[in-house]
Amino acid sequence: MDKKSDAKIKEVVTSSQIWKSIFRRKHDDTKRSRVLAIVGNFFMHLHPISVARHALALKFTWCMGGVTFLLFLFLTLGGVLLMFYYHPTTGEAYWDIKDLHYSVPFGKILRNTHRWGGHLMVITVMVHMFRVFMTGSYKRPREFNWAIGVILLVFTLLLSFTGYLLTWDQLGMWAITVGTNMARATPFIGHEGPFGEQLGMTAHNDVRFALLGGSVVGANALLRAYVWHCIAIPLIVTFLIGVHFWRVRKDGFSGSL
Amino acid sequence: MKKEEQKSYVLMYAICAAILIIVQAWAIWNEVVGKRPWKDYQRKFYSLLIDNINDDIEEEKKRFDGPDVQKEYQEVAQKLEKAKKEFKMSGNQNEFNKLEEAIRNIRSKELSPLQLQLSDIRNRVLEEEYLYTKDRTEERKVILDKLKEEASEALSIVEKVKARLAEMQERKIALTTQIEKYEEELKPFVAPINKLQERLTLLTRKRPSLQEYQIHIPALNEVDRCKSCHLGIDRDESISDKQPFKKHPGSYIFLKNHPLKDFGCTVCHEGQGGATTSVEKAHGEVEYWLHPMLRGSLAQASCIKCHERTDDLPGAEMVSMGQRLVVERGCVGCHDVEGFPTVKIGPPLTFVGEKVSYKWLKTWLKDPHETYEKARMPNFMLSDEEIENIADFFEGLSRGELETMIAADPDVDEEKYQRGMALYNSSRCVICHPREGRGGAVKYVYAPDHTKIASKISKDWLFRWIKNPQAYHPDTKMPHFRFTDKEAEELVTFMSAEFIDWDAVDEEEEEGEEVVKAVKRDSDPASAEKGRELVKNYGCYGCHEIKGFENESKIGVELTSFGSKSVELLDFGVVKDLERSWLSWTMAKLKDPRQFREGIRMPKFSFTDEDFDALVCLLKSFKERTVPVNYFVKATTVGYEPQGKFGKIVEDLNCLVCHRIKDKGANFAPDLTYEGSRVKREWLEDFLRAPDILRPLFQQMPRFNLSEEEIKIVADYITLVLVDDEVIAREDLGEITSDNVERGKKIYNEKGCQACHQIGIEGGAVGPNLSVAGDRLTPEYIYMHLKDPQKWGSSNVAPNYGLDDEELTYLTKYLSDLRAKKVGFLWKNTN
Repeated sequence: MDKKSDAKIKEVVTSSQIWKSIFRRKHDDTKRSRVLAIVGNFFMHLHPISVARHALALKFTWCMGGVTFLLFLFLTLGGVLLMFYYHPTTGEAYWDIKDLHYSVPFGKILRNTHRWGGHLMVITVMVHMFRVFMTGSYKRPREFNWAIGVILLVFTLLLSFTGYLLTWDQLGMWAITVGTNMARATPFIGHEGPFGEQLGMTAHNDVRFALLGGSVVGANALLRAYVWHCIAIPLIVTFLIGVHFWRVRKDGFSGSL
Repeated sequence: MKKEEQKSYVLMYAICAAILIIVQAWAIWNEVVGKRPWKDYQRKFYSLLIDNINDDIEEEKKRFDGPDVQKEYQEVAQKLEKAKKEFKMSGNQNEFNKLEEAIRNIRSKELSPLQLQLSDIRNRVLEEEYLYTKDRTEERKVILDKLKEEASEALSIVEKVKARLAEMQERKIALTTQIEKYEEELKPFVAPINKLQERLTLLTRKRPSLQEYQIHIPALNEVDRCKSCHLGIDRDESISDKQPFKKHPGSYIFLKNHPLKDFGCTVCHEGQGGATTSVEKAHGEVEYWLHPMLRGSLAQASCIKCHERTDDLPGAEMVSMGQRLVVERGCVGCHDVEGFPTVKIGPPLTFVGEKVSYKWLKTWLKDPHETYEKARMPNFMLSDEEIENIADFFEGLSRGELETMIAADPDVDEEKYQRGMALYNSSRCVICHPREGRGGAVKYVYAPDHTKIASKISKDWLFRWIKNPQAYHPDTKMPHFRFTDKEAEELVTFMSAEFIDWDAVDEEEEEGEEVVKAVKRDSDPASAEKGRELVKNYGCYGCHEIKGFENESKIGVELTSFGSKSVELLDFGVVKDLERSWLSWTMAKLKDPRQFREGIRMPKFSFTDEDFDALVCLLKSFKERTVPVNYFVKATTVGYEPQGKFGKIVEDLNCLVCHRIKDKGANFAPDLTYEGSRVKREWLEDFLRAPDILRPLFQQMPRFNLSEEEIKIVADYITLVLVDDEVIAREDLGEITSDNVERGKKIYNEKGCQACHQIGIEGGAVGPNLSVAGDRLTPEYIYMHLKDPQKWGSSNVAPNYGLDDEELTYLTKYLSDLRAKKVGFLWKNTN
């Protein structure tokens, strides 16, 4: 085969609909396409295209956003592994945790890193927000991302909260009991909250009931916590993190004070 | 200062990487070694196993090297040597070799080609057969027949060759019979060693596989990994007497009836079965684990989880003793426990003032156990003032201004005294009432000692009591003897003169007091009122019927789930140096209930150490049952309750205090469940009228003076209801000839029956006296009992001699012939 036909085949392949649907750009050996390959790739370039020198400094960012993201990835991975060993039923949940400690290979470190990692993620999110607040990075034009960040904080706390029940021990059970009892007092949608009664809220149709899948912490509450913790919240958080990073790239890093 | 992008973060990276590597290394170490301590135990176990086999081999070798064994061994070995030599010398060796060669030749050169040919022909036959069944043409048939012929020919040739071979083989073997015989003889000498050595190589050839053992029982929601350390628990023999290598003790009861795979360990022993990371965790002896392991016999606390009844359950002796004690010692008087009856174990006290002397009452309250060592009443540790108050309260409650005449009176009519004594003896009071510590043999009956009784109780009361005890105390265990007034009076006379507390009399005389028989006291109402408060406070009404306290509730805490109380819920109070555990608290509480703080009302019981253990074991069992229904063991018998007129008499006489009918009652006296099949009616009626001396004195049934009508009722019931349908009436046992009797007697002597049984005055006293067996027992029963002595329960010690039917018949006839009319020297009480 000569060079000519080689080029012809290449031409045919790269101009096909399938090829184009996957690779949006030409990957010819030019500086422009090399740059585009990097900055256009989400995984390779979370940061904005151009970053001010001061914005890279560790003493400015504390890298807390990055650490939080890393923890989120780590917890997702570990969480999936834990799901192989865990049944969200009242009869088995606690003993599955015990088995992770006593019998499953590397189970103890798997479970403990997930727990500590969860606690740590709450802390790093807080520290991250503290830094953003102190450097005034929430100000115009970054108000929207701040708002996303606040929502992400809430979901991080919810992840931690739902995960707490899954061990199905006394600590978790009473924490959820107390936590959901607070939900009773939610305005409008809690049966003990302001205007709740007027809106026809009772212990059997208010927000607490929806959270627990019943009026006491029982098998339904465990299942709900499990689904929220393992599927719903991680999906929402993943989506929001995407938006968060996209905004960071669009808005750029704020300047040093 | 360097620009941001020129700064190096190598150090930070290196530190992070180092931390990560260290953590990884730790995680691997932890996984392989740290959290698997059972690996060490398993290694130790296998090395112990190898040591044991080595020891066995050593021992076996020693035995083999012993002079006697060696001598025998050498003899055979020499014979073998000789046979081998002969084999060589006589040219047999050459022939043997030749034969072997020939056989090999025939096999390879003649037989195998022939066999190949044969199988080829057979295959072709099969093919042709198939084709023939398809076509059904003549040609095919011809070919098939021809082939079949060929096949049978080939077969016959093969058979011939095989026959030749077999013959040669035989000749070959014949040459070596001697050698083989001696070789066979040598085998048993070395076989045990070889066997052990084989086991040893098997064990040492490869590394023992260390693994986590797990028993998962979904029905119990239980995962037990105990065997990971206790590797020898279900072996037949212990390889070491130390835990965790020992085998389960008493496994013929426990593991045999509760196979590990169905029950696991923690269903009985509790603890944290799933834990494998440390001994403390596995045994559940860590903080917040609610069920620490039950060691040793304390595990009996778990029997109750499944077994409805434990009183006849082998291996559950401790907990069943606890169950008995809880009712019998009056725990249920103050504490509610689900499943236990509320019984007032003490006598009614409403009229106690008419019964006992004021002085005795005070001594008793001071310390019941001191006054009578079998006393069940605990010591309430009352002050002298409190005692006086309570005594005053009881005096006021019953007697008021009445006088109580204490029975003690040495000056009585001699004739009356003698008649009373005769009655006292024939009524066998001593079976239940000890006298100077002797007698009182009936288990679990707490009758007062008679030694000083006359100084305790009043004459009037004694008379009324003897006439009908149940009128005063409906739940008493004392039978209602049918005494006439005259008899009762004679008894009272005898007892007043016989059972006087002379020490007290002497004491009073020394103190210069006059011996007062009649006491009249003016009780102080204020003191009596204080007494009432005390009675209420200490909950005396829990065990005693007392007027005015009928509607009070029990004063103690409910114990239904006491066994699952965690240590945080137990009140250690001022006691500081006690181990913080359920076990030590409970034991301390039982031993000295009031040590924890002031104001505790629980009295001090006089238990033995055994009793304490049993009670702790039972208390441990008081928890919710969580086993699935198919693990329950229901009591096999339905509660029997004697009915009708018979039932009334049984209740009146308290027959079931000694006898047992269908699992109800005690086993002090014979089981009456099948009494109707056992004894003859005439004898039964005679016996009820006037019991014969059948057994040792302390077990002899007393005379109850039943009326003729009552005797008829009892005899009717026994002969009609209390029978075993399996004992069939046999007419042929009725005809007795002297020849039969002689042959039976011979068997009796041959089998050595007289070693245990007495006939006349000869023989041993282990079994019952058989002198009048023919009067007493039905022939059918004798026959059945001789055939299968254990048929009606395990209490029979008679061995089973495995007699044949003929022997049984003769022996039965001989025994049936033993009757009072013939054995003339025996007295028969016909009243």
